[in-house]
Amino acid sequence: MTSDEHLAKAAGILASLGKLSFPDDYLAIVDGATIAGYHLGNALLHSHGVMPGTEHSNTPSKLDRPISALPEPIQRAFQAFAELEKLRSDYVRSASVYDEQLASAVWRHLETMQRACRE
Amino acid sequence: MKISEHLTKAEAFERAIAKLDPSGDGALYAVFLMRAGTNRINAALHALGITTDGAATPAKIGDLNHTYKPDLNTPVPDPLRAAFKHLAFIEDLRPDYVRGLKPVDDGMVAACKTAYTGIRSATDAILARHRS
Repeated sequence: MTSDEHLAKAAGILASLGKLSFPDDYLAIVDGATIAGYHLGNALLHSHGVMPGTEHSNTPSKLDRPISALPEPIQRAFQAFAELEKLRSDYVRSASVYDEQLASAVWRHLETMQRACRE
Repeated sequence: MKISEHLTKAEAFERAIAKLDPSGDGALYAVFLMRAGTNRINAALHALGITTDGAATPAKIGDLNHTYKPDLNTPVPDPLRAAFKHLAFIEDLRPDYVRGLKPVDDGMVAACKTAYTGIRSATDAILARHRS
């Protein structure tokens, strides 16, 4: 997939997430945010020449290099993506209760990734 | 996780699914079905004593993230064999429909509903026996 195709897919997923709300849907929003992060992250990897459109990276923990080895302009976005991945591990894949700071954290990390895609 | 925690998570994902358009929101529809189904199967595996609801031990693994991960280390129990196939069907949607660009059409929505109904049917029966 091209960078533009990933961005379009991310936009669709973010629109879907707009149908859900904290706190009732916190598990689904955290999970869906990681999927949006997948597409935003791969758009950045393609647009910055880290990976061709024929290759993809699922999540930061499966990336073939540390975040510090990525091009500087996308490092913050990938740190945000790593935070989303950690939230998925902590909340979706573990016993969890809603924390009212979760909503702002999720949207902040997504915004960091989206900003990198716009720059 | 405890059985009750898996069921709470499954129900939360099911409520979220009900707010989505299965076709228009196809990527999240598929992922959330997978999460709900995985939690129901984990609850059933705990009820059958196949997996532990605590930390993994050399003899028993803990929660599955997917049908294939971590390795169950034992054959899938007969009462869950169909449910595993249904969940694997949903998991296999990810390359095309979640990570890829393929739109979820009405036929795929129907197939997903059939698969999830199959998961519910098998796991509900196990959990009902476990409670009685």
